[in-house]
Amino acid sequence: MSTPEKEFITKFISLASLKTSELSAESKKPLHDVTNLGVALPALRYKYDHKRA
Amino acid sequence: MSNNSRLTKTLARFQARIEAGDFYEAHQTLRTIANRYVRSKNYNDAIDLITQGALALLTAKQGGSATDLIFYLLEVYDVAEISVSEVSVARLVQLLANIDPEEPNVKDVVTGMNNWSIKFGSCKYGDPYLHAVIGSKLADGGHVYEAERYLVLGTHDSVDQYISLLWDWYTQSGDIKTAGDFFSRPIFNYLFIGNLQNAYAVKEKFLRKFIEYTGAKFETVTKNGFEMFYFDDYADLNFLQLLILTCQTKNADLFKNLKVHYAGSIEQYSSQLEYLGQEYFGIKIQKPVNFMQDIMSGLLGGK
Repeated sequence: MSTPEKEFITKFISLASLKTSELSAESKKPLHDVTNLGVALPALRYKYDHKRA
Repeated sequence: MSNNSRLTKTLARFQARIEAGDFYEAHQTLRTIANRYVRSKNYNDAIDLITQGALALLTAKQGGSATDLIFYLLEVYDVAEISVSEVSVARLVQLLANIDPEEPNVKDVVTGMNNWSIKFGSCKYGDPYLHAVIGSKLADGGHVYEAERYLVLGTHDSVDQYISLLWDWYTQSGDIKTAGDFFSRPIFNYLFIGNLQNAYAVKEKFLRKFIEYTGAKFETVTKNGFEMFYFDDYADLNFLQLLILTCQTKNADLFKNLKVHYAGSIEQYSSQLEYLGQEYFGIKIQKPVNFMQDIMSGLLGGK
């Protein structure tokens, strides 16, 4: 019943969580130290209508 | 007469003119008096006067005159070198709260405010509290991409606002298959700035909404404290969850392994992944090779 993707995921997670991670799941860089925002994400194909929100 | 009672009197006169509908005159008079305060370096009174004036004009739905005064206030902030503090930010927040999100120059107003907080604060991109309010105002006005930028750099409350903005947008798209397009945005944006806490919060909240809304088939996979939703039909959602965990490990082999497995479905993320590779795994971005330059420097004995 298990698909190749599911198998991969199970193995991958085991491997990735084997050791304690470098960073904690709660970690965040203070905004004072943020000097780069990464790359700009492409615009989405869908228009947002705030009047419908 | 003390300065303060003079200020109170000026404001009372101003208010009376506003109530009488003499907006133009009220606006001009206030500017003249504020000018006088600025010239005599009485910045505190100038700031109080302009702020109260702008608020009264906003209440009277005179957006044009009010925003003119807000720009003037920012000029005074600049001249007086007012630094970012609870008080100086709260004043701007109060003005923002009263501004109509449909005001035509709302984007310029928030840019002006943010530029001040960059110049006189400690964050390269501006003050997070200001961002939180700016982000929700821009979202209300339908300026989604601008709102997104501010919400990413906002406060703890901004995460929920960001999720709800994306969620509304997603449900408007009318195509449940597009979930990955929306989910990927906050995941990448938070990973870019090193905020794993928010990336995980988005994973949890957005995907729970998604499951509830679409009834998508899923299983929870848990291992050593990490938990994810595995979806049969949404490889991109699976990939993005694993990506958070992978960044957390900072293990370059895992990162490569993950990319190889999902190679087919993640082409659209190549520049994002290149950036994360550099930030979390020390993988240098390869610059395109300039053959001509190499040949020339080779001939000339250079390297």
